[in-house]
Amino acid sequence: MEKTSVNHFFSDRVITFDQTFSDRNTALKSVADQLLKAGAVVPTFEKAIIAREQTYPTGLQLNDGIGVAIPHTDADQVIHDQIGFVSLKTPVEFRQMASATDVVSVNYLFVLALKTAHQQLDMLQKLMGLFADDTKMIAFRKITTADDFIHFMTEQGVL
Amino acid sequence: MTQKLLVICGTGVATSTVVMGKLKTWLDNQGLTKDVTLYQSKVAEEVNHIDDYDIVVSTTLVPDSIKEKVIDGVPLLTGINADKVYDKIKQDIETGKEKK
Repeated sequence: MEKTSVNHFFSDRVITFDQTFSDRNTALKSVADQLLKAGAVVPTFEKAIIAREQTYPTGLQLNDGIGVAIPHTDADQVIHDQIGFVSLKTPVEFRQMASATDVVSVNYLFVLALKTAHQQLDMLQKLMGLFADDTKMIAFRKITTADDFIHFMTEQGVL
Repeated sequence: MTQKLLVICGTGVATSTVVMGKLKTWLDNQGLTKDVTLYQSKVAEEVNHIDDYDIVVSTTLVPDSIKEKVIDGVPLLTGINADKVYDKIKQDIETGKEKK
């Protein structure tokens, strides 16, 4: 039997590169649409994630001028665990997590559709560990295909 | 008596889960596990119960009414500039120990 590795957080392959969006909400809408088509979320996920980001921003300023955002919302908007990824050609402004005023120019968007987040501690910790590791982030930034992305994330233990 | 440390985020699931994990490991390394009981919740549920806790760490924006009591936990999430936050929590634990 052929060996196949399936990384379940990226199994729907909602992974896009070099995208351009006019603003934060347009970017979120695009990822929400794809997650909906993949059957990972319910139709109200889009509205929920946009509203949640407005109230509880998730932008994170990393080293080397890189910005990421990890939008997420309540588990009842989610059908199965999945992460939608977008790399942005032109950074989009998100507000900094836990800040009323600071903004982050976001290069990479990880939309977390989590059904049982308490059990995803390991994945979440490894994802944050990646964000904090400047050397790994240099390698990460060179990725341009979904296959390479999944391979890289699997190597990092984000699965 | 142990001190109550609350971790809050917007949903009470994702970022607070990561911070909870980091704090558990850190408390263990510091030999403080016995001194602290960890709680996890979402900000909306805790605004009116904030005084039930000795130390509050948040990864989300909190209302002005509780702002003074809350430690910004975002550095614990990313690991970037986390040391200062750990120092502050340790200081609060030590201060709390003396009081009780």
